[in-house]
Amino acid sequence: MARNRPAETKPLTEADAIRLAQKGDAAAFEHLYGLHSRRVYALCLRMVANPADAEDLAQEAFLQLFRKIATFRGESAFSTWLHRMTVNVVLMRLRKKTLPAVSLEETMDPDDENSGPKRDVGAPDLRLSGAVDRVNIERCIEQLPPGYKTVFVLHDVQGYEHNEIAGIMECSVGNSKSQLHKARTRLREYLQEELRSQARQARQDQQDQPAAKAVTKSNE
Amino acid sequence: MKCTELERFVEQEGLDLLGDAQRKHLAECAACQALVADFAALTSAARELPAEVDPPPQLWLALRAQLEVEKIIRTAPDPAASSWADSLAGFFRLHALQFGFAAAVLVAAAIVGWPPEQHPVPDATPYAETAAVLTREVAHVQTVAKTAASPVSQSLRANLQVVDNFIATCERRVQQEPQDEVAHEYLTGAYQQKAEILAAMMDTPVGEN
Amino acid sequence: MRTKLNSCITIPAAWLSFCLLAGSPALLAAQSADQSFAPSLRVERHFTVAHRPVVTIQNAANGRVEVKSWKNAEVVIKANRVSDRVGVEMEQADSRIALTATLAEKSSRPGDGETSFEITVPEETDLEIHTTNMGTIYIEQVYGDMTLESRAGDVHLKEVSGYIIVKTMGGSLLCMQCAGKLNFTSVSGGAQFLQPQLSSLSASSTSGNLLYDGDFLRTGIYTLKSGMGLVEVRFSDSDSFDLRAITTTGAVDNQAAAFLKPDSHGLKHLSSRFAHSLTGSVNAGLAQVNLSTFSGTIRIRKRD
Repeated sequence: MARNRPAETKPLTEADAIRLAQKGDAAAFEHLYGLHSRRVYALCLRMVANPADAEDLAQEAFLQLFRKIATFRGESAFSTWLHRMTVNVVLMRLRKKTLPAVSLEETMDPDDENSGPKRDVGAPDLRLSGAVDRVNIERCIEQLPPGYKTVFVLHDVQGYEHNEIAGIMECSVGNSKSQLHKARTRLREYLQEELRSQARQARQDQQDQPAAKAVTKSNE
Repeated sequence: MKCTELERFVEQEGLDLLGDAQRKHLAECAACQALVADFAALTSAARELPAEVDPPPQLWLALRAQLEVEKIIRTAPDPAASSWADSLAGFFRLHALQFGFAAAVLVAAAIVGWPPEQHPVPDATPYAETAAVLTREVAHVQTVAKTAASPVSQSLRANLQVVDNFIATCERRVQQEPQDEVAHEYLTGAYQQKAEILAAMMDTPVGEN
Repeated sequence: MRTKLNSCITIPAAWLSFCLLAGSPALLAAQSADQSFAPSLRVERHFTVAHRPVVTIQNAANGRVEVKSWKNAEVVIKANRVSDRVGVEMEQADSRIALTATLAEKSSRPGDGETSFEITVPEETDLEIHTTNMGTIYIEQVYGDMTLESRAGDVHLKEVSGYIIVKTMGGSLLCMQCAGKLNFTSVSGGAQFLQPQLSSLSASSTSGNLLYDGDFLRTGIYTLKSGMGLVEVRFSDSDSFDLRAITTTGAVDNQAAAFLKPDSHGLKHLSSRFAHSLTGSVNAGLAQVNLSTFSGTIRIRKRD
């Protein structure tokens, strides 16, 4: 159990908690927060990679949700509605941080030609199997454009299906699949570049070592 | 199979549904083999990442404080009105006391089983009951509001007429083609709008500008 | 006329008498003026806000509600022509500003109870506006979440973006150069979306006409639905969308047949025996456009 979970409330179904929250019941809000805060915070953290910003965004998402809870009519699952709001809060914040000309459309489908990583011409592609660890995949996910990052995190990290992602992102299933594929392709490029960069550094370190030994010897 | 076709297949169907054609191509194409293997590696690594992360404790505290300041968190609700139907019935009951529309409570329950859990199966029976209840309430509302000459009241009456005409059209369609789900959808929407208009008419004091 | 008493007393006494005699008609007139019309007032309040505020307006008075933005971290509310029939309350709770206008009592004087509001807010503001009378809601250059409900008045939005919900009974929506996501429902009101940059739109009306004249964003989903009214979309060469148009008893007027190809995703659309439908794709079919009427006409046009 998370040590920082809010105080336990009497067992409520989510539907009951929503109804009570619509009347302003504090325990109901706390219950809904307890049900969803970990996934929401995880999503925000993956999107901005900065705990302070993630906390800010998660709070904003819940605040917007609770302000609007009276309008929730059950057309979609509550969690879908919440995640949709979270994604929108995050993307709006990211949109604001970039140039004013960047539209939300571009965060969903960035220009592939301009934002790919540089590649060593002629260098063979490195296989990722066995070479991808948590540190470098997290670093590479951080670099993804917001639209790709969102779909990748929702699908491959948080395990949502494409029809759920379509509901959250308010796009088509086809679009979700397309975005995920592009995200994985981009991530693959980043990881390969990361591995190449590590390999280059390792080679450089090896080359420097004999020189260092020679200097040490000559000083003795 | 070409490399682009395999890539499109992976995009649409994922990595777990590769068939014979795809496997045959993979056996012959090192580049596509690498692609599939790399995708498998990175999705596997992604799955290892935590899907849930504990937020810091101050997040809830700050959120709750803000909700209280904005008065979104209020006093405990009346346990007797814990369901949606009860709360909407309560709203109508309040106005029913003013205008003698005790039966308006039935409207809330009769309006096509809101919220719907799944797409409603075409069935004319619930509509007949809803229509009868709404018709009685319309008569009451119009008796009380007939002297209201304000532009708002006139607008509401005009909109009620629009919805009534549409309901009549949809009902004829549903009677002719009971399996027409689209017609049922429109009829459901029209009944909901009618209930909203009636609620607005009850809300508008007579003689208000 | 002087008396033989102290001159200091005599003159003032005469003067006072004169004043009383001369002034009484004016006094009487002023008193009756108070009874014949209510004084016209202007109320202005300033609220400092720390971050994205929420402004809620409940307006039972007739009159326009106008919201514009500026770069200051302040909300300014000006209420014009307040009569004593209209009660105006303004309240602040941290970043939440609430404005309530109520009608105190019935009056037969025309124009009485008419109060217009000019509200200036930070560029990023959430709005909740509910009007129960005839007044228009006008919003310009505000970015945020908005819920706008009007009973009989129209709603005009210009260069507004965010998550926007508009609900009217008889009022119409005019939406110019708006962006974000928008949901519109009405009984008899229509809607026009001109030069929009909306990534998601759901518009429905029982009898109003719906017009979408602008770009379809590549990942957008657009649903326009009218019971008895006309649903019209106008697209251009550069648009790319899948189209599904369905009407139960109305007609589909496809003026862009040359640009509509079979669905580019190879999806099979089962046609209903209960409805007339038209499906197809323009260019690569990246956006989704769903048009529906019960008995109204659906029109698809290409912009020249």
